Amino acid sequence: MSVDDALLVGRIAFVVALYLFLILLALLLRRELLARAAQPGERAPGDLLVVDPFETGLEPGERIPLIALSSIGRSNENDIVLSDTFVSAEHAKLHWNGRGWVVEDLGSTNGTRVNGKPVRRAMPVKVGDTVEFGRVKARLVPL
Amino acid sequence: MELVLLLLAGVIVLSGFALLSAVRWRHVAPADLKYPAVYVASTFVLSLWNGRFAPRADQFILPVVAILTGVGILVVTRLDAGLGHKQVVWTLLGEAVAGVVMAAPRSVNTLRLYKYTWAFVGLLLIVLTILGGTDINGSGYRRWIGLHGVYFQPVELLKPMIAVFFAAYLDEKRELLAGAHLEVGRLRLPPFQYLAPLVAVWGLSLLLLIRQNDLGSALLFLGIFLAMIYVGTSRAVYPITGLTMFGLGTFVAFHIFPHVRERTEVWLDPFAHNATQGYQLVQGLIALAVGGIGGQGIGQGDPSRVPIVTTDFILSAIGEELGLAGIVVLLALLLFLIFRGLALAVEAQDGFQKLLAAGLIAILAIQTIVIVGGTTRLMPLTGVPLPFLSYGGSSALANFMIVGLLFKISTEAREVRL
Amino acid sequence: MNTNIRRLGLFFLLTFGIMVLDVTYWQVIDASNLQARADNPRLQTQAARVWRGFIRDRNGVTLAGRTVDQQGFVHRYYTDPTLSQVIGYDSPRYGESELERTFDPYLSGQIHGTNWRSVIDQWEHKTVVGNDLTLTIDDSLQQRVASILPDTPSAAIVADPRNGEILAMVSKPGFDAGQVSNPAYWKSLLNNPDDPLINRAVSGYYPPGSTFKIVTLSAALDSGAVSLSTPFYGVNATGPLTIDFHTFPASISNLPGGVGGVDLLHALMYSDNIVFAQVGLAVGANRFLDYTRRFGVDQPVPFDIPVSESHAQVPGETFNRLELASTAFGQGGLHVTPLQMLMAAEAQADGGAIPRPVLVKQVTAPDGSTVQQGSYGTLYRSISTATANNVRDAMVQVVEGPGGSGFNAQIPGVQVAGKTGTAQTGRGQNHAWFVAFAPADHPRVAVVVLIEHGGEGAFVAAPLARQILQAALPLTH
Repeated sequence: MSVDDALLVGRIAFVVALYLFLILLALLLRRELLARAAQPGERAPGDLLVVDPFETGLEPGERIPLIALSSIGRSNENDIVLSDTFVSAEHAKLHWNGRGWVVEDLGSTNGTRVNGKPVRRAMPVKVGDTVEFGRVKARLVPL
Repeated sequence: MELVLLLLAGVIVLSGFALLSAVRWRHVAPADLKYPAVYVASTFVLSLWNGRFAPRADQFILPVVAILTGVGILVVTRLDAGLGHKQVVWTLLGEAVAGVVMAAPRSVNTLRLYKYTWAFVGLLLIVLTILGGTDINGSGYRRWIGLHGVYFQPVELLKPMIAVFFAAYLDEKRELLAGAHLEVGRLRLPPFQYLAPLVAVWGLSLLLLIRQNDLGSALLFLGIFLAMIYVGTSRAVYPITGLTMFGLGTFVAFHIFPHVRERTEVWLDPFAHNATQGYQLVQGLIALAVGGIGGQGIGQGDPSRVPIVTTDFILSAIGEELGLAGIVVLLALLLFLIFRGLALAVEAQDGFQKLLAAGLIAILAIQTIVIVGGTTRLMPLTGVPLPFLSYGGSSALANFMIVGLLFKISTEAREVRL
Repeated sequence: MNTNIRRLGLFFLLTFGIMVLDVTYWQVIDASNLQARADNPRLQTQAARVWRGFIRDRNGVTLAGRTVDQQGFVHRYYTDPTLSQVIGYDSPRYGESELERTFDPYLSGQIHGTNWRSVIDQWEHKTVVGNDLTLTIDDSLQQRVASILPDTPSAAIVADPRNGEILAMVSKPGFDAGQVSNPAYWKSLLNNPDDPLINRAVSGYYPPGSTFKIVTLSAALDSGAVSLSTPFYGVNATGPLTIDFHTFPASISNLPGGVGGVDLLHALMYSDNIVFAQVGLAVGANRFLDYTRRFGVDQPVPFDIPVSESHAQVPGETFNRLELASTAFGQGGLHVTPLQMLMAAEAQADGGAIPRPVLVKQVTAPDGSTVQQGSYGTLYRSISTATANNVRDAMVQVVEGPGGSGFNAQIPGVQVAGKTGTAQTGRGQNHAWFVAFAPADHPRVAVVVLIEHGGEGAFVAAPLARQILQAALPLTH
């Protein structure tokens, strides 16, 4: 291969390499977006918008940030503390698995409902759905 | 992962320089790789620093910035090796600034406390250029200050400073602007009075820029203003009013300033003026055409035929030697950066930080649009630097400052907050 | 706020998309127009770096060559200024002319192979090497002919009638193609009243005078209107002759003293205009014009350099009997090029077939392979072989026979066929013409000589033609 041929190959390769870089960026980004939220403490792509706070002391319309695995209950050890009498100490868990949300009821006294339907063990939740913990009502909203 | 991407970026950039060297000497001359190697090494240093002081920050921004800056230095070196070396030096300085910014212990929000200070300092610098500035490239206007061969353009620093000011102000007055009304007689108008200080600062900067005939930066400031108001208030009335005023302003400017009229005429039919004012634009378009899809190859075209190719018309040089393929991938990389920045803005918790991130990204995005649009005849040509790609020391400094701020915002956004 | 941020992002996405479309327009859709613009400085630098092809004569002598300077710019040089009107010039300022122009796509390498290697070479910006031309010209003969012709405006062509190859072509005054790029020199060329840039051999318009009688004779014999032995007595031979109120005086009969009657053969030998005027009338206007066209008059001549079309009439004039008569002996509205008269002579040398004139023998690629052969072929079959042989024999008598006007063209040991011409110009001296070919039985050289305002063809042009034939015959086989 002569020098000229090498130069021709080289300059084609250069531009191709830039495209490969871009593609790699995109792939890695996609991977990270899916993986990142799986780490429990990391910020999840959603908030809980308070609808009916009752005695929790929160305001209607207030946004509660969610992490990948948010524990919800009356006890102060929870990620999200709802101090309403009808909320159990460890009431539920709201989980972002990278692709979707799942709400898990932890055997609460007054139950957890999604769009009015009672949650037996775990149930998928979509953005826009209304979730009730006891009587406290909130909506899952995007960031 | 950031390191892996940086490694790839570094390899690509170095290969580009090797290619350039081979085109010139028929073999790769190690001397030609000295400055690029230093630059690539500095990106790794910055990444390690980044890992220490902002470990949770976004991992994609630095590699993209690194490769864009690298390609920019490559093209500038190809056009003028001296400028290329200078660009490496300025870049290293910028990286240092970014490092300082991202390692600063206090929150980004400290900036908002000094918003008027930043605005004032920035405007003062512009005033300095009016009073005692130098004109280093014969554009006819003195936009630089400096001495002993080291010059910088204050307007580049003013851009992020103004973004800080806007972000701080808009965040404070957000509810007012979004909700309240202004009663004029029996009309209920949006509360423009709360905008007054904002508009005052903005208007002052515009006037100074127009005084210095820096129409590109004036246009950019208008764009940032509109973008940030839109993001901050969700009320369409503000951008609409702003655009109307812009329309009126352009109309007036067209009739008052012969310069504006000239630029518009050249934009409408550059080929009719191909020997006079339109020469630069026509040559730029010819250079793009010569590049075709695949380009002539780095170092193998004739891009210096376009006047002022290292700054305003860097896109023509890229188009001629790297082709449409090159331009598309570089624009895509810029767009990637912009999207990552906006995603950062979405992730941020704090209103000021959201606005600031959006504003800083708007600076990069709008500059790209203005200069690419101008050199490809989508709009009248005004001179702003193409971020990371065109030659410009102050531009590099400011852009890396923006990068540093974005890292800071990213770190704070990802701190676990409950 | 987040929705707005997302919308802002969408806005940027859209604008970037528009920008990409716009750039695509300039780089792909409209690219070729932009690249071809005259104000694209790359075109000139590229053209100046092309290794322009060599032009050589039939023996390999370099006529136009190239030198490459240190920066890679190519310069054209010419070795024989007598060929300037044939080869032409290649000047960055004034363009190309003659062969440099018509064969420019070959010489500048624009025509190249379509195989992968050439495509890749183009992508690699490899130096473009043009194709070389081999001409039919023999440079030693060319220079000899140029020295034989006087330094006054004149032209001569030497050709091989068997295949149409042009062995020499001289047009005077000449110029130096190598100096054309000098603006002062160029200006002096344009201001020169003798128009050195014109190739008189193929573009000059002249009344052919008596040389045209070979065409008239061909028309008469081929159509059967008259035969070589047809007699013309008394006034029909000596004149005066009145046609349509115009009287041709007896002086134009050119008969030697004491001759009262001639046959057509002798009329040709003495060049009797009175007789030929009547021959023309006998042939008739339509038939006559038809034959002139068969010889190439009023037709475009395909050739390797631009040729002016010869005309039998001045446009707009009616071709009445008077015109016919005048035209028949080579005056009237006739304006022809020397090339045209050469072709008329070649017809007689070649059994009635006029070969296509050929200047470029071959186009060769830099690697030696043949890109294109010369355009050989027969242009017209103007007359029957029998007629041509008769005219040929008559032309031999013009030179070799007693009293023939072409005696100054005699060559010892060689039978020469020819015809003199003395054309009245209406101002100044007559043009001196001579056409000839030799040896008459198997002609291998044909020649036409024209001396503007030279005087009598028999005394001015014929001796030059003899010298040219003597120089050319040893070079051909």
